Parts: sequence; C-alpha cells; structure tokens
Amino acid sequence: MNNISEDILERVRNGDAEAFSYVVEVCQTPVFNLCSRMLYNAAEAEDAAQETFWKAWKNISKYDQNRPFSTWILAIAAHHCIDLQRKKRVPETEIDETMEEIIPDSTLRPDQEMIKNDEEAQIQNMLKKLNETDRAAVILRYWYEFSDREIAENLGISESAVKSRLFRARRQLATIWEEQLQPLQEY
Amino acid sequence: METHEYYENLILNEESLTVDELERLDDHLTDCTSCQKLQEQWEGCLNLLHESPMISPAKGFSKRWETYFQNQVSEHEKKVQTRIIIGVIVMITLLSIFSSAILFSPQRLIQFTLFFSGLVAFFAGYINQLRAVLDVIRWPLLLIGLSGIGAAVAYIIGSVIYLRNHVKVRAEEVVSHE
Repeated sequence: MNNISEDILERVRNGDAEAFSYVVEVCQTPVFNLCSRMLYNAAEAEDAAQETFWKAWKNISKYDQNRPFSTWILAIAAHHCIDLQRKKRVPETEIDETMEEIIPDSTLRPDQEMIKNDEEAQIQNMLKKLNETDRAAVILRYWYEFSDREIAENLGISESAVKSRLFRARRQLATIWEEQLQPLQEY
Repeated sequence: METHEYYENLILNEESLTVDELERLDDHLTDCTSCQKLQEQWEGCLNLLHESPMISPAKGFSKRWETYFQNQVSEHEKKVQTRIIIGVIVMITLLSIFSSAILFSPQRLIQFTLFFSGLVAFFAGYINQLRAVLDVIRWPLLLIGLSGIGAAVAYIIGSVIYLRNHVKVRAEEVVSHE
C-alpha cells in the first residue's frame, strides 16, 4: 500500500479517475480487511470499503502529502466504520454464516479451512466484544503494525489514550480468549 | 514489594522490559498463579492475532468499484445541479422580496399612488378639453357624420346592383358562346 508513487497521487489530485482505480487496486485488501474486522460482515465491509474510497476521492485535496497515504485512507475507513457501528449497533449474527461470507475465495483444504474458519471466528468473536475505538486501535496495531503515534493520528485521540485503550483491550482480549477456550477444553 | 498491577502492567505492556524488570517478573510468576494465567492467556491471544491473515474482498472488487464510482459521480452531479437550481430559485425569490420591499415600502407606495393619480388627472384634463370642443361643433359634426353614413350606404347599394348586372351579362355571353 505504501508503494503508491507521488506521481500517481499527483494525478489523483488532478482528478485522474484512472490513477485512482490503480489506488483502489492497491489498497483494496488493507481497506477491506479493516472494514471487515470492524464490521464482521462481508457485505457491509464491501459497502464500507467502497464508501471509504469514494470519500478519499472526494477529499483528496485535503490529503496532507507529508503523511503516508496508507495512514490517511485507513483513517477514513476506521472513522467510517466507527460511525457505522455507533449509528447502528450491529445485531449479533451467527458467526459461522459470517465466516463463510468473509472468506469466499479460500484455497485451503477443507480441514485446514475449518481450522482457519474456527480461528477467524474466534478472533471476530473477541474483537466484537471490544468497543469500536478499542477495536480499531487493536486492528491497526496487530494487522497494520501502526505505532501508538500513528494510531493516535489515525483515530484522532492522544497517544496516552491509545496506550491506555490498548492496555485495556489486551486485558479484555486475554480474558475473552480464555473464555472461548474453556468450552473447547470441556468438549 | 511491587503491587500486583505492576506485574500485570509488565505482562500486557508491549514495550521491551529491562533486565531488572524481566528478573522481577520471572520471580513473581513462579509464585503468582493469577499472573501466570494472565501471561498464558495473553500469549495465546497474541499468537492468534499474529497468525490471522488480511481478509481480501471477493474477486472483482475493482469492477464493482468502477460501477459504484460511476453511480456516485452521476448522483453527485445530480445533487450539484439540484443545488444550483435551488440556489437560483432562492436568489430570484430573495431578489423579488427585496425589490418588492423597496417598491412597495410605505414611502414608495405613496409616491407611486401620487404618480398614478397625476397620470389619471392629466388624461382626464385632455378628455375634458376634447369634450368642450365637441360641444361647440356638435351639430355640424352630426350632419357630416350622417351624410357620410348616407353616402356609404348609397355606394354599397350601387355596387351591389352593378355587380349583379355584370354577372348576369357574363352568364348570357357564356351561354350564347356554347
């Protein structure tokens, strides 16, 4: 995602839709992953990803060149997903259905796929229990390896708030992880 | 003696620990089962997070984006057009209200009424003068008028008689020719 050249971004700034299609091509997976982890529903994630790209296209003049493009577009996606979650508290869906939607093009063997789906379901269940901003902070840290400062910039909160949110989230995740393991161990 | 929270902090904080902190934590973990459990939980959870791959959208996202983009652009254009139309209507309405306010302000209204009544008085004066003139020449004018009407009636009757005779003669000529 960081390999979008200045030249491409300049063309996008000048209203070149073809150059922006290239940006979409490059950024689709990171943006979709963030939306999917935030919303845990493939259809909503796709809509959110497209809305993110549309917002980026409309507001490209506001993009600060001194900031990495990836941080900027992921910030748009994170804010959009947080807003969606706040507006509509997503009803809890059956996790098996959700996972089938999330990984439609898997090339794994059925047994591997089942394990993978189990793990994904476990992760999604864990993330679901965090509040929107904590979830976004965790996703940005563990899937995008953002620093505290980058997360703070991305979510519009202070670095100390990021630290305390991540700490709280880790504690919560550890407990949820244990809770999820218990039924499996009993079985 | 450090508090229990201190060790939880060391376990859950991702910043690298000093040698001293590591030693203290190791010592604490041998005695404290709760912190041991927390560390195991967090390590398991962290492994799971690190193993989880990025989720890609279903194939054809770029094509679906193109369609979405086209729709959004046309919708955006429609919105812009609607805004322009609303803007023009609002401007015209405001201008009308503004000009009406100026034209029909109490002061302007008095001025307008005075001007209009002056105009009516002007034409009424002329009509009155014309009537005075007509009063003087009424009878000669009536005679001239009646003579004119009589002449017109006589001209029309004469013309009708001439045309009728002319048509009759032409018809006889056509018959004799045949």
